[in-house]
Amino acid sequence: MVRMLAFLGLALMAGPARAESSPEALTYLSCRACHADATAATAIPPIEGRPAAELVEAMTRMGQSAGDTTIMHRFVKALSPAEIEALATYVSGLEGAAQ
Amino acid sequence: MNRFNRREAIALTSAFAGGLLAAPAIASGSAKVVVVGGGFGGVAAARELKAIDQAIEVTLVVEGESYSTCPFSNLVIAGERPMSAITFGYESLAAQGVIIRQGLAERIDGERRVVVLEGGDELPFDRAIVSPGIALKFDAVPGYDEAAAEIMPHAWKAGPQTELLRDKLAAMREGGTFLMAVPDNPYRCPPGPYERASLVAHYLSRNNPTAKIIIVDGKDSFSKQALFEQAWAERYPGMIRHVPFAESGGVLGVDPTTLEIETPFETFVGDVVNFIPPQRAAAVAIASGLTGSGEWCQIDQATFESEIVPGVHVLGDAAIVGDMPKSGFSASVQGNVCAHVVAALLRSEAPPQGVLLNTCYSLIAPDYGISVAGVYRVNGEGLLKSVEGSGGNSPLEVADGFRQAEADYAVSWYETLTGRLFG
Repeated sequence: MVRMLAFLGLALMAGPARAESSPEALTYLSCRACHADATAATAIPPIEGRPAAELVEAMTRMGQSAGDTTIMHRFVKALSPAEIEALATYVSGLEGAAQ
Repeated sequence: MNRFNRREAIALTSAFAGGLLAAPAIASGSAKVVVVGGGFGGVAAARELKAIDQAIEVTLVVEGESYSTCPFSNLVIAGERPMSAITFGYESLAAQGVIIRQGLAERIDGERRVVVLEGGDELPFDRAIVSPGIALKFDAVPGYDEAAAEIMPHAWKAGPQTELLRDKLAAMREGGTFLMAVPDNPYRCPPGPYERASLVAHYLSRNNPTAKIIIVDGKDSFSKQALFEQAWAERYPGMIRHVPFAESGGVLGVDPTTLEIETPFETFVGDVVNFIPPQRAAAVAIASGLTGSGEWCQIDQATFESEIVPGVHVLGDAAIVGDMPKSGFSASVQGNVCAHVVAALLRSEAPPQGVLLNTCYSLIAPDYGISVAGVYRVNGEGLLKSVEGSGGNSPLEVADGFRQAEADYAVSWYETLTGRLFG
């Protein structure tokens, strides 16, 4: 359901997606304090426009085991699988990396 | 609530897709929002409001032509960065359509819905967002007033005070004592004083290695304490002495003529004194009645709206925002979310909600970073609470490269966030 709605959203809009007020869009306002646009050469990797499946896999993995992750696991532990999926779908739809 | 918001978002999407993009000012066309405060919270709110709806008239009241950030100001004190590297102008906000109004906001009149500026000019608003930061209490510690701050700088608002402390550190005699006083909670940037001690130690270890640092603390424990103490023992053995409240009994007074800090059990003398006084919400918050009988603004933690003055939203260091700490990161996140809340309320829609994050990086040295992170959600009682089982500090035991990575991430965070706000 979440995926379908998000897909619908993506299909309908291209530009103004970042300023929508869905829960995942509001949550992403925190993510983007650290994760820059894809054009930036920063130590923290850009995430906008990355495939949703890749983002879900990365967040799920970090939530289960910190490994050498410094900080993301501390955030992911607060999110439900549905929230991770909605957030990943939203972020993947933003203009960012050329994939 | 989630479903409602998602449906709303989709409805809005459909409206855009249906060709209404040319007239996005559906209900908020003539809405006026005045944002008070040119720091992390105010700038984030103003910029996000314009991103949500260009038709909202957004005026940002700022004190000066530029803003120097408290984050990374400890690097300036330690001589690692110039002041210009932490100072930003408001040109890009103006380019986004934000009206920049330079001046001092004296009072927010919630009844008449105007912000009153020094000199008497009034800025009308439908809703106001207030993120004015802190005021230093110059009446709390005997001997410590604004004149004393020129001799014993606080450097707790970035700017000339930062440069003053940097210059005093650089001129300190060989083997001298850098004496710090840190207040009890709550104050701006809980780990900030200990990052400062670390970076001053980094400077001294290279330039004045027999010098000492003494921290006279107004509390017994502090943010990321185990990590700081581990790092101090490793990087600066014997250089930093932390005096907890229980050991000194707290500051009774200061004497700027002798550079002394007096406590019940010991009188401390510094060659350079960095006195960080107790704090409260900025003057405009108190003059506007936003703090009630207290020193910090009381707000609805889901909407940031004042519990005392309707139509006025308060965030950042001046407010008690649930469990979130007083940090630039927190203020910017709150400013962003508050913009969405205000935009929704202007359209007579239910205020949206999301998850809020905070990260405070502290640098022990330019190649050694530690962090504390938090995740916050509004609970069933409307309180913004830290989510159990999430957040927390960097680990004490780490593999090679971990501290370096966190230092790199601290720089990355700073560049990204200041770029998003001011770039």
